Amino acid sequence: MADLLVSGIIYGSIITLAAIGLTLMSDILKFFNFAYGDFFSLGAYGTLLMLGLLPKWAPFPGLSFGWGLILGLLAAVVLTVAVMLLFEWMFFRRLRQLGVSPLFVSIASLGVAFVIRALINIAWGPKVRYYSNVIQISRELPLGIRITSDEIVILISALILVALVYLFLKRTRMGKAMRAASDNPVLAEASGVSTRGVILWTWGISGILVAVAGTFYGIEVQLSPGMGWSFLIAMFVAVIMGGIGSFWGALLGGMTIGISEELITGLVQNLVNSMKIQADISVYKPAVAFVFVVLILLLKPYGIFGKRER
Amino acid sequence: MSILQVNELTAGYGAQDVLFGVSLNIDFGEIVAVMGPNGSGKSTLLKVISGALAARQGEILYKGQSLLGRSPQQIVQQGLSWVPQEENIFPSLTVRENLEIGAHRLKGGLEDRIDEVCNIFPQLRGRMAHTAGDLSGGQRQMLAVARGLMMHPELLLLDEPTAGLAPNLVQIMLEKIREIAVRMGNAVLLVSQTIDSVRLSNRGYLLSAGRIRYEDRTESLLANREIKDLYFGAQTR
Amino acid sequence: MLNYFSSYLVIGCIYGVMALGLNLQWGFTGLMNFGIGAFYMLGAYTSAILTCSPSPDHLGGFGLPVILGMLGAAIIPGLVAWLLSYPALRLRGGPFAIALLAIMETLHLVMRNESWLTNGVWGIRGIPRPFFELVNPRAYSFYFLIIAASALILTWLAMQRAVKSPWGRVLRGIREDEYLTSMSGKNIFRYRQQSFVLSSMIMGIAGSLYVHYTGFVSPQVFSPLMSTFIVWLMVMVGGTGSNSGVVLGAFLVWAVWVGSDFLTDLVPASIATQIGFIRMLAVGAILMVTILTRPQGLLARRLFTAEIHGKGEG
Repeated sequence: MADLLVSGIIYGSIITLAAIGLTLMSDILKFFNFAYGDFFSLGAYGTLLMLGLLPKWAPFPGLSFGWGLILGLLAAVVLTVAVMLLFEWMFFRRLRQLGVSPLFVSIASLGVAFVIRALINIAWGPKVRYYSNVIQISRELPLGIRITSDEIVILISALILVALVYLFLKRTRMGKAMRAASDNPVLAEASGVSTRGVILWTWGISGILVAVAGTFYGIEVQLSPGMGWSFLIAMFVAVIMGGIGSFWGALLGGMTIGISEELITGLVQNLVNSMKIQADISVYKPAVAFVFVVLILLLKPYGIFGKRER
Repeated sequence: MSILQVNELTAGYGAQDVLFGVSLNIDFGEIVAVMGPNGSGKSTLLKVISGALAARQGEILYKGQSLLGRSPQQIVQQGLSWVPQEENIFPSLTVRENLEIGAHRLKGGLEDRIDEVCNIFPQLRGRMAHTAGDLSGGQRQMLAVARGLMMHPELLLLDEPTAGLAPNLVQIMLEKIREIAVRMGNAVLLVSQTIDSVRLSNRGYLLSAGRIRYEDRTESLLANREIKDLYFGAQTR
Repeated sequence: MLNYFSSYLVIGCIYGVMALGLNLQWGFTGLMNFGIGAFYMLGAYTSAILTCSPSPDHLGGFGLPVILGMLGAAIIPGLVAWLLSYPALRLRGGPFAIALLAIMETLHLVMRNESWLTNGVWGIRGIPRPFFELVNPRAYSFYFLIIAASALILTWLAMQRAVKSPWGRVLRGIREDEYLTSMSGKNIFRYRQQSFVLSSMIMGIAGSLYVHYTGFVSPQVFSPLMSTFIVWLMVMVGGTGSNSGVVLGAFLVWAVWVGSDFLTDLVPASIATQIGFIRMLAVGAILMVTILTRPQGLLARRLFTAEIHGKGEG
């Protein structure tokens, strides 16, 4: 049980990082970006690429990675944000100028998703990859919690990043402008807030978050070209549950989905195993997500912290 | 030269035009009212002037310069501030943050300006950390106007500033508007359906079905029985 | 050579049926469903299980005639859609798409993992193909083409009638302005539900046609790309809302697919193995270009053009 909780929290923090970026993007850019999962993958593979280009430094003591991955991640973040901005400039911005409705822009983002996924497949092939072959052994903490050092680093880093984003949104001029644009885009414009600036920063922040999230997943589990696509459902459900545009909603939604997917499938798996039935319950994670999204929307149609309909 | 000159303005939404050849002008420091029934296009007029909606035909001159094609951001920086009727605050931001956003393009002097604006709306002073969405109706309206003042506007576009307010608050708000015009010397284009608001102004236009039907000094307008009955009906009793 | 062509036509017809089904849900009713593959797959497996001979590897094998298999292939997806409509149709737009995607992913994984039911990744073989014993096996595609084309034409006729019917008009009303339509006293939910269920039944039939043509079914055949997103591309390219358009889109997109098969013979082996991903790239690129240049698709209906550009909003 404790194990499930730990992996749920790790899994949840990764979803949360991505969900915060996604909720900002869905709210400010007003469409569901179905390519977001593949940007997640891009972030992870970008780190892999950079890792290969940098010198092979030794891993930090106790961890599976060293400076190579840290610097690689930073470079991958820049790469991912650059690619996203490229798509914004060449594609999404044009769609907005043409006045294409949000539903169709969402469908269009599917196209972007396939393009990116195909390119990743072509460049790296469909086989699963890892950042390193250092096997991590879990250490034993009080309360019977077993966790690896990698995981501790991931958790702490995720926490720091979430705090940084919060501070950005709350304290900086651009952060406030983004929140204003999210609340009331027309009034924000009439107050002098630059729509262009807000849009670019939105892509930027969500790009940073999703690239880091993808890399963390790569560290924790593995890399595969479809990794982001599989996460897409969890990320979107977290956003929808929490309320589109809500920072806290994404946080709550992300952790809830992460923990409950692990816990529920894990517990049912234990049950099934004890009944000597042969079944892999982990495949039902998307079903857990589906049930959650329906339940929450039954109670709160705009999500837990959702704002009124646009 | 007027601070604002609108010539033959035509605008609308989708396939439908809402304003047909509207012309009006405002002098520096004047308070001018635009009255008219629901659906006459009053809000649309302000939207077009503020740049939120594109004009289809006609001209808008602010201090002699054309506003056509300019973005709302550019227009507010030139000294023209718009306070919409609804959705006129940022509900999830604090009161202070609302004012800060109002001053987004302000180059220096933020604290002083907040202070000045709070002198007009002292109710805001003690509530700076409150979430704007939690404010009462009257407080919200004050915040909405306060936000609009942050950039030292020379022309203030107010859309139904007293709508939905309790009667005592209506009087307070109207006093505030007069105070603003006097203290800060700006012109005000006031859109309203209520007689009280209209009485604040020197001159008025009557907008009906997208066209200007009358224009006169306020006393004359209000003395005109026909207009009074047609457009202010129950209120005059 | 001719064989390739008739095979292309058969699959084209099957995708045409799918596209017509999607057009009903999306083109007429505005349901953005990214999980249509679920119903396609359900229909396929239902038909397979009902009609093939008993086997220890999987459930069923009732050995029923193909026609009953097809009936089952319409009923089961329809039933599932009906049950799902209660929770899922509360959602709209993006959330609805995600929910259906989640359902499809779950179903796909279930089909892959529950070997007792479906023989997992090994699939079910030996599915009866109508009239197979009676004709020259090599020319089978010509004979099946008669069945597939008939199915396509029947579906097309049915959809044309549906569009013009009062029922269809209400659906379009829902898509264009749900609020107004509800004000006229129509039970919005029922109409959306009917559209959703009927559409899913059509897709189930398409799935059934597929397995009775190939004689084989496995989860790989129903990957999200091949079962859902390629159909979306067909509808987008062909023309949202236009029955003829989406059928055209189906044949056009499928032609590109089959065409790329020929390309694999011409290019070096290193590229040939990547053909699957190059196709994925092509799907993505074509979709992007289509929405950028002609979002309403080739055979567009004018009212959808207006809606695509979000006009008519005050």
